[in-house]
Amino acid sequence: MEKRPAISVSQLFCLLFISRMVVSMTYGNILIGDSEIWDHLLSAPICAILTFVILIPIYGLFVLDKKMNVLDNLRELCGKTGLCVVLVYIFYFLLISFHTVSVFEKFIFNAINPPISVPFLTVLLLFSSCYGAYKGIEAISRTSGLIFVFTVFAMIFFLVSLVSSIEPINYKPLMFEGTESVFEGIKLLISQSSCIPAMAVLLPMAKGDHKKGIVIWNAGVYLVFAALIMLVAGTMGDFAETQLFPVYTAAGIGKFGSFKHLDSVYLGIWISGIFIKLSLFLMLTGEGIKKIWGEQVRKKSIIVFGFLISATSFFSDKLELLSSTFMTNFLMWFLILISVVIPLILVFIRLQKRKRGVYG
Amino acid sequence: MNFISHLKEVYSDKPKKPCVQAVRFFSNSLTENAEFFKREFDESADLSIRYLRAANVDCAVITIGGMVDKETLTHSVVTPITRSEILGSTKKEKYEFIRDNVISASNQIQVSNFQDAFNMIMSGFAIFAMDGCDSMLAVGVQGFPFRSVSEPSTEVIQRGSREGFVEPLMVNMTLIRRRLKSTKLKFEMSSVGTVSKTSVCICYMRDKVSEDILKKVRECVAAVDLETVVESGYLMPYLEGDNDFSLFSGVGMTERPDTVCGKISEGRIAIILDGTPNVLVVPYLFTEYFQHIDDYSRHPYFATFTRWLKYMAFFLSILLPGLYVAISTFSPEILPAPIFMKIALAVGRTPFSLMTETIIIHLIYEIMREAGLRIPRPLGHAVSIVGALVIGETAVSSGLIGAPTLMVVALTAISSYVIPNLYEPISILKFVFVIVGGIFGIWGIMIVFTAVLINICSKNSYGVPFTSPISPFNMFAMRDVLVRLSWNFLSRKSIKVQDLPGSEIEK
Repeated sequence: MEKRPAISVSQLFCLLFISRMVVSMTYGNILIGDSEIWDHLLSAPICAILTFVILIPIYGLFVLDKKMNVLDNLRELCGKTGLCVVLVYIFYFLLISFHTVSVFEKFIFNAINPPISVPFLTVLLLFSSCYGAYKGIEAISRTSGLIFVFTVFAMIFFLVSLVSSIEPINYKPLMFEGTESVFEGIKLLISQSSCIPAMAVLLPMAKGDHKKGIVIWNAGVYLVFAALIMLVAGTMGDFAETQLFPVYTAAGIGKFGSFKHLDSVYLGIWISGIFIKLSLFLMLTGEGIKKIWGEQVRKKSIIVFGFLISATSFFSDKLELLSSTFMTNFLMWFLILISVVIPLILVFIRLQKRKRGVYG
Repeated sequence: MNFISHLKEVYSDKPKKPCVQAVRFFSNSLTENAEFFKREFDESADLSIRYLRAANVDCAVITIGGMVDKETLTHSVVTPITRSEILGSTKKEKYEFIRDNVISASNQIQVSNFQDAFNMIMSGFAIFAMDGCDSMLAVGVQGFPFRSVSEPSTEVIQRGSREGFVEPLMVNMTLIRRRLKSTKLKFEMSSVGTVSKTSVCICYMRDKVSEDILKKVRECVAAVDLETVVESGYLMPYLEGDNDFSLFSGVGMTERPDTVCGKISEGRIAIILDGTPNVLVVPYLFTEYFQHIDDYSRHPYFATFTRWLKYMAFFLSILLPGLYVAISTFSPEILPAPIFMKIALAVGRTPFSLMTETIIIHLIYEIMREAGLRIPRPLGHAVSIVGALVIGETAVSSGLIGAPTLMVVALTAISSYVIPNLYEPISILKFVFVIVGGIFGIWGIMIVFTAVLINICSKNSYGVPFTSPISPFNMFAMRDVLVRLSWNFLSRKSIKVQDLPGSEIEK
């Protein structure tokens, strides 16, 4: 019998929190375009509610059989057609890995511009992440447990260091230039919620109170996001609009006692987070592969996908794709397809089969 | 078989074939038996066969010279046999009479085949054989010289017992038994090494140990397919269990009986090997590297302080040289201006890059350390003088090496000695981080550091997560990890190793 990895709910949501925070930390002009960052403060609570709604089919499917994830359900309920749909999930997880690497490159290249070869640094990141993915969910979640502690301390440190620099005058009225930015923010935040499809695969691997975990995670993610926007807007005002990565810029100006240069703390946490997120999504890609071709192919596929993404890091054109509206819309609708539509269909099939007495 | 297939076989999970040896039983003829002994030992100089005549029957006492206490042998075996009146009409009856009434040694084991007899005499027993009998008597008259119980040089403490394990297995077992006077304490004997037949003892508390872990340990010991086992380190790869590559070991090693007692009281298992003072302990977790027996005899606040020092020293010793190279080379703006100026000045005067310089100094230090360990003690001072004068003084004054680099290396070296059991991974990791820091800067260091964390976190020691109880987290178990609470609190409830969070052990 296949040994199922077992992690606790708290470990799972630490892992997902870090994966989500990595995106929030690079939130800025590169992703939001012309949209007003301050108006996204309103998008956050709406997105929190929407996340709960999107999660209903996934959670429903999980409740129907707590041992099976969405990929298992596809294989069992839909046979060969289901395995073809697994390929869609594999594509999504791969796309998110690629997207994460692109954000990493864009950030390193634009915000830091180090005197080293960025593509080679990306190769190092991917090589290490492949190792993490190869080691599996237990290793990644335990590591994320450690990084989570540092992340929380860094966030508190970050908050304390910036609070004194907040100028109330920097806070403009919300929706000053219309409601468009709020909707743009919702679209963007939902498109970035790659943790939701990840949850569809990971929920059965975790032991504990899933419902409580989801509530705390969702509330935590959007509270921190809202706090980041408040801090960035409060300390930088309109200057934030000119920055590609305003959170990083804010970290650089933060000061706490004799501690300066908090951007290095930011960098440390962010790079660890990127590593964790990339490992997680490469692992999820491998999980999909395992469902179709078995364990041996899973191990090889992680390396192959790692190489594939590494190869793309040498072509800089793809970076422009990140800020495009097409990418945001595509990711959002893709997310709705695999987090709402497919799980809903599976719930329906399962309930039908249960009615017919196939399942108890 | 090519090299790759050989490696595959070595690292495969398939159980290895047990080595089965044919058993040869004794004959009724003493001459034949004695001849077989001589033939098997090829008339080895230390094999001694003393022929006697008791009650008109030919007898022999077979020993290995130097392994027995001659005085005990004379008083409890030879003299009683030759001087007593032996009753019985048949040879067998006479043998039984000698066994039950004449030989006065307390430890007697009847053996019926040569393999057992060989094991016995090579463990210091004397074999009493009688013509016409197809069994022999192994009499415990061991008397080989051994080092007396003394303080272990590798685990020095400030308070507490000065006793450390020694080489003979029985003495080590006694050192544990004296500290744990419980009927629950059990020693299980077996042997390892197809040629050396080294005695190995599995020691545990019956009421604390997990049956699952115990079964796995027994299987691991049984799977040892080495010809000779002369040191407990030989068993470590077998006891590690899984074949995943990790720089850190899930098998602990100690020379202190009090440490072993503490460990087995928490459900762990000790493996004692005859001929070595290093006792192995499994499962062994990452946090245990930072615990020391001294912590438990100090004030809790000070023990907590030293714990933090150890964790800091560990991270300092693996990361400091790498960060120094990375920050000075790629991100000097992080450093305060006066420090940066000093480093820049030093680097400007030396011919090598900062990364090369740091690697060279580290290599020289490692060579000196290795030399210090191997050379005869009287020459140790010479190494110190060469190290201090040539490297510490001349290299800097000649402009070959920068003083800040030397200071970083010295600080790293001292930090690494705070946790001596972790020296091996530290020495490798610091080189890795220097190279990564020199090529990829602090960004590369962060990536590789997270990969190292993954490596540590992925490890399980006998089904218990290596990083437990930090991750997976358990607040109650943390009372003896980052802090050491007072005994009043620690004694309220003990946590067995199999109960730690994330453990896959059936309870």
